[in-house]
Amino acid sequence: MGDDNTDFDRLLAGGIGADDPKLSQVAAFLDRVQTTQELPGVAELEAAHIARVRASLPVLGTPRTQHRERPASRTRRLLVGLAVGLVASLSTGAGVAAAFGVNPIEAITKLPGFPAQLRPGGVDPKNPNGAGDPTSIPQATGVPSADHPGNGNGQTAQPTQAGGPKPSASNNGRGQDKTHPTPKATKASDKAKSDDGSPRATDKPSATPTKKDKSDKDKD
Amino acid sequence: MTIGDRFAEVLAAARDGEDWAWAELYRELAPELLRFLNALGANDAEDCLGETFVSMVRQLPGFEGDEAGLRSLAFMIARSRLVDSWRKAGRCPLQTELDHGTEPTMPAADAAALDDAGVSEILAALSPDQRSVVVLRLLHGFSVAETAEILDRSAGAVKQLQHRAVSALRSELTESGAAASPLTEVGEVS
Repeated sequence: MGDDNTDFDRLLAGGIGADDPKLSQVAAFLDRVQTTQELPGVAELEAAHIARVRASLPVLGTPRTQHRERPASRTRRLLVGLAVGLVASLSTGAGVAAAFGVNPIEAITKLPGFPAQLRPGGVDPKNPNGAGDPTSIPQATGVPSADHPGNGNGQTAQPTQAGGPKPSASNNGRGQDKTHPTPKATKASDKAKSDDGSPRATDKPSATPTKKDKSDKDKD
Repeated sequence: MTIGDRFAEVLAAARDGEDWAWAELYRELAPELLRFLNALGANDAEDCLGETFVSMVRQLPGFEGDEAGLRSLAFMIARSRLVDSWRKAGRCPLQTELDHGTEPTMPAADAAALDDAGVSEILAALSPDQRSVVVLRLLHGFSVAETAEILDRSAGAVKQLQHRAVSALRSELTESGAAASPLTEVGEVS
């Protein structure tokens, strides 16, 4: 086979002539193949075939298409990232505030620029004195009444007080924190009322006002 | 004519889907591919050529190599499309037996004067793989290694195919009228 491969290489190179009777006919035939098999023209086929190529290009997702989609996807990623970051920071802040015994919502309301009308203990334009707001009225006085002898420590649990600080080691039993001036002012005024013997402070020492109590307040 | 130094630029543009780059690749490769398909007896060589370029679109993003490598890839794809077309047609162009029982069709001395039909007829006597080796090596100048890559064979298998192709051609040409060949007579005298 090695000789035959050498012969083939000689045939390709045209190195075999009439002196080699075995391969001369093959050499003549291969020469004829080279002359008859000319390169065909493809000019009339080019347009149709290039059109087929162009039609198959969108399937691959050419870079032009990718360029068009990039800005939209980048903006979407940015917005989603901002939203996730905002939620995470708020959750973390609320968690930290709760761990330190501070009501996070109340802390937010004390931020500079926060509207006073939206603060839980803010001034009610309809009722500037704060009377009639069950959520800000302290439910106990420092003077024990005859009806409730065991309630004379001046501080009772107020589970229904909305927006107020939760009882914790830092502020439980000490009344309102100094950092909460609005509830404190309300409590001070109520305390003064109770010292004066006003009906509200003395008649409602219980921790949980009943429906009847609320209806009485509304009448007042 | 080759693309030469501009090959990297043309290849990158073709990957980006630029029409001008595909047109340049087409003008460079299509004539050779069409001749290859015709020589192997494609049923519809022009359609097969179009399918070859569509397949190149899919394979070009993963191609790494030079101009010669892309040329080999194009021939490899063309042969695959040709085999697919044979399968679709339900037939493979098996070698056609020449009619040796009647009068010799031509004297061996006229081998150099064969027309296109005669050349095609004798080429058809070879098996498809033998014909592929002869056409790729003789007409398109591929090396044994390149031919092996195109045919998805080993280099040893390609050498065996070309050996058998030469033997088959010699047999066909001799049996078709070797006795009257002046070349043979000259060889015998010498």
